[in-house]
Amino acid sequence: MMTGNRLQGCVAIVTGGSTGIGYGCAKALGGAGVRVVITARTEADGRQAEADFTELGFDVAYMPQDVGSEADWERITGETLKRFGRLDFLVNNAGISHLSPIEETPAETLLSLVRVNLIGAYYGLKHCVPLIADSYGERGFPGMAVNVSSVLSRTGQDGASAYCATKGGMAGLNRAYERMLAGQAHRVQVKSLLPGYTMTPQVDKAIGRDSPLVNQLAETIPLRRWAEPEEIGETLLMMLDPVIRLEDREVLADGGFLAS
Amino acid sequence: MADSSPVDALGGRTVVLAGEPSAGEREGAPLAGEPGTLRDQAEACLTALGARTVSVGMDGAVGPAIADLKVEARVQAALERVAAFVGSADALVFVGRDLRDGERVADFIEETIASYHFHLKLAKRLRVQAATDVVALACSSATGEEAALAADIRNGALRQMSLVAASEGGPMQPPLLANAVTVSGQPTDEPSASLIALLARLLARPQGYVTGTSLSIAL
Repeated sequence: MMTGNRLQGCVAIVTGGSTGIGYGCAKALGGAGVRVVITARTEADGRQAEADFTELGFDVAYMPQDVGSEADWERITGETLKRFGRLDFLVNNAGISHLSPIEETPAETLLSLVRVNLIGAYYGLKHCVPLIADSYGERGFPGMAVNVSSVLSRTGQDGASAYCATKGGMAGLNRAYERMLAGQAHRVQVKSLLPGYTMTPQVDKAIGRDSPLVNQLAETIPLRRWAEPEEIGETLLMMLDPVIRLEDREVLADGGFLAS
Repeated sequence: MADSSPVDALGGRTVVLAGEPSAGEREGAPLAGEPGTLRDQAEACLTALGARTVSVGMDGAVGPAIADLKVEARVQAALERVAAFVGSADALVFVGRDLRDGERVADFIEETIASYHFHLKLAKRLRVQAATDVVALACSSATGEEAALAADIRNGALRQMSLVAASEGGPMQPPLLANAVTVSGQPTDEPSASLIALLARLLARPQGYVTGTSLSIAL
């Protein structure tokens, strides 16, 4: 009945894996014995994360990537296959955010969010899903591409029109892929992970872990606290676990935020 | 390395198992070869995880009788009784049952909702001693039009009540984590690997930020 750790030896690409939620996801995957490719634009961050994870004994590789560049996706997937020989999971995590009212949000800002958050995820699915399906024989259970979205894709938030638009688009992308892959769900699936407010280093740096705004938002969460990136990583593992075989299209890790 | 099927993940923890009666507690003796209930399976999974299971039936002795659920004074008396019996628990697994032969859908819905409501009150009371989490389990394998309708209504009710319980948990510490799990497939009395792995994740608290959710698995 106990099947051991079937994730051991699998291969995952985590975009934006050098910091924040991506770092938490890569750490959880590495801890479960998954070989991890972390991609990030900022090389110093990527190299640091690679060093951190190598020290923990993970089999990890950093590859620089602009997720909005299709050429970069071709290179990343090629290098992943060359280094690890297969691909089992994609974590479409790389994302940027911006806060300002619609009338004060420049078109360039909107388009930069669309390029990274939405087109980046689109290219990720386009280039990785076929490879994940191809690795089914070695894996023996469905591989998965997980789009890291946000509870704001459902609720919206004042001042976050561009961000919410990209996360809403990601939900549509997810549904389209679900239909496309209906006949091969035993080989590859596409799902969404919806984190709630998460205390990433970027948030900590921008507004401060103990700031009034952070505390004010925490009051809107039933658990009365923000998530840590590692907790989102644990939820990702629950989604990927081939023993559990969750059937849900979207999985929340929001401290009960959407329930309240 | 983390294992995706953690044996003994709940070792030393106390889990209250409530709701649907086990096959042995059903009216009349179970027939030879009759499949177990979801409660039997949940119990087998908790045992496999090393939990100490405290079983609370719907017998009116320790657990509440159906009549207890309909009058608040009796609810409170039953809560006192069950809380004293259990003492302290780390988790509560409530198992929603299916429609019985000949049972009216309205009666079934009334009983199921009242029963889960009772056990959420119990979990909140028990949380004073320990970080009691709640998982509501229910099958989605009912056959027949009326039973399937009843099961859909029940699943929706359990899910929504779990959401509410989670959202009410904030002011109290430690917070209540409440999640609903819909299970498809025919339960047996053999522990299911998927249910074991999910209960381990939800109750051993690596998923400390997952609450107020509705999840689905196949046995």
